[in-house]
Amino acid sequence: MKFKRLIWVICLLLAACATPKSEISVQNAWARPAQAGSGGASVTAVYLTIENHGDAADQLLSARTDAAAGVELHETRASGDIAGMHGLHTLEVPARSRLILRPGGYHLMLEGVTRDLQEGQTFTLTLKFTSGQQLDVQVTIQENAP
Amino acid sequence: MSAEKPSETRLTPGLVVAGLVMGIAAFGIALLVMYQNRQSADTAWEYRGTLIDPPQPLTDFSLVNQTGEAVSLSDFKGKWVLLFFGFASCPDICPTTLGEYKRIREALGVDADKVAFLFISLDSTRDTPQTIETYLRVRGTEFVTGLTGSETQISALIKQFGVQFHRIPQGDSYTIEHTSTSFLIDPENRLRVLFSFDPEVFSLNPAMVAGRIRELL
Repeated sequence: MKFKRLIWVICLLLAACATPKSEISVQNAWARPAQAGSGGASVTAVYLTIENHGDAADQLLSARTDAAAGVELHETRASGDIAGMHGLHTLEVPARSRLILRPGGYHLMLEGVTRDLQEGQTFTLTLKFTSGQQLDVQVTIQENAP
Repeated sequence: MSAEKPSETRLTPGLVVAGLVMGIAAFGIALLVMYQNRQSADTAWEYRGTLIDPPQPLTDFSLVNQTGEAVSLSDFKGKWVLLFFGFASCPDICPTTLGEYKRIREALGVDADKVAFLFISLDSTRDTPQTIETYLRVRGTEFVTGLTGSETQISALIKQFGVQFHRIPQGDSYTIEHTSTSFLIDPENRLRVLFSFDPEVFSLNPAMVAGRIRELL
């Protein structure tokens, strides 16, 4: 009887270890200033670092905030001297890895900011991942990378 | 008897192994040194722009600045000009370049007034002088002259810079992919240096650009 129970405990422990869990954390979220309205000044980009401490890959599916009408996942790509932005459906964060979104690479484009975003202010951005994890991130408005 | 004889002439298995180990180690160190030399040779290469020699005279053009006034390239005769092309709805590359122009200007110090900074919009549809004025102000780069014009004017003037751009539809809007090079123009309105984005950090290197400009002043 005791032996059977032990087997059960071992099985449970193994199952707990094998179940892929996603443990996402986000750091250094920042964006350049923007001004409410419709022109180019109402567009800005959020940069941040996503860390996946889990044993399974996860994907950033979408982001939203009440500070902007829309948020899009983008990548700046260059071919020779020509650079442009390309929309992405998801952003993969491999297991036990870090993904850095920074100028000239991946970014979350904010379109049509709903209020003026001035240096030193912050706003909340909600990130949604494939694993179901949802994260509220404080984004600091600053001119340069932290 | 044998104890009196020095064993140095005898090749014991221990000596052979020691010799082999030392040989392999020496070979390894030699490889490592060669590899490191190659690496330092790679990193020693410093990008300082593409010099246009002889300087390429530019055809004059006239556009409208952020306060609605007509501005020509010839208005900048007697000054150096650092210029790039972009569009105001660009959240990544253009603000990065503008931020670097700010740092280049700071690095120029007392020579800052000898250089004019220009931004020419490739988005004739959306970028009005007012849009550009707001854009440059929000970015804290009011010192930059932001120019806009009709599609025909822009298409005509970019040819001499070799600039290309394409509109890419994005949802019900569009984005623009474009040449991200900065152009340095001399006081006689001639093209002198092209600065590409630094491939490592995908941005301009402000200290390098400022240093290069000061050398030419």
